Amino acid sequence: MGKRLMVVDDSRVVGLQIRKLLEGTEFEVACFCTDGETAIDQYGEVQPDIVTVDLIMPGIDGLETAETILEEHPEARIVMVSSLAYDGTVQEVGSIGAKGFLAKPFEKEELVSALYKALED
Amino acid sequence: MYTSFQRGYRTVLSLCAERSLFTRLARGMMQEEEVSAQDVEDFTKEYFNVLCGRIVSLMYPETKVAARFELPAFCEGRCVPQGHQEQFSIHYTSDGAGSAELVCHMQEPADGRAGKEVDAVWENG
Repeated sequence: MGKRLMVVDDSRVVGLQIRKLLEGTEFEVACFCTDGETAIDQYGEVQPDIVTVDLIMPGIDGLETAETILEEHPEARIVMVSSLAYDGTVQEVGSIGAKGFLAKPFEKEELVSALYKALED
Repeated sequence: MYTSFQRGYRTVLSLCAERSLFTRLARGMMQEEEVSAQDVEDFTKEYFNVLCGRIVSLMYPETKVAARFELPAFCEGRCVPQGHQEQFSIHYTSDGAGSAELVCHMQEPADGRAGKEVDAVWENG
């Protein structure tokens, strides 16, 4: 059975990119949210297998979005995504319970690898 | 495109390029021959967002500055931020594909001490 992905990013271009990159894989974009509040609202209904969350977004940022989803749904598997790929950011991501970090720009193999890693127990 | 740094470096970065360059890049990324003006704008914002993130990330090992920047803004024509002066620029030219210029703008000092302010930012991290 295919794995359902929720993508949270204020850029629709990223949503399109991820959808295209995942063509032919067992992952599909089940839901695309352009802000954290919507993602938090919709998580329970969508129940994705994995969520990718952009770090920097208008309104509540990716870290707060991820923290809130994890508080309400501890089983959530979240991969943080950002172009800010330095030690401080990666450590912050790990400290909130996210399953991984994906640095932009990413290729198909990097994206798929990060998603599979997030599914590991 | 332009953005200002919310924390860390006291600077504005702008990316000025011919529309044809971004249109070509947007077509390649979206794998579509036809892209709308909105597509190009959205792509350009994300492209610049990634560029700024990469710059900050690559500088971090040396500066230890955990910088953040505002969401990129798109504007027609060359961006000249009010109250800032051009510090340096990097030019990119491609055969037949257009050109681009990345410009770093620093705040105009009241007493002409921009160079020392830059040093202070780097020293204090």
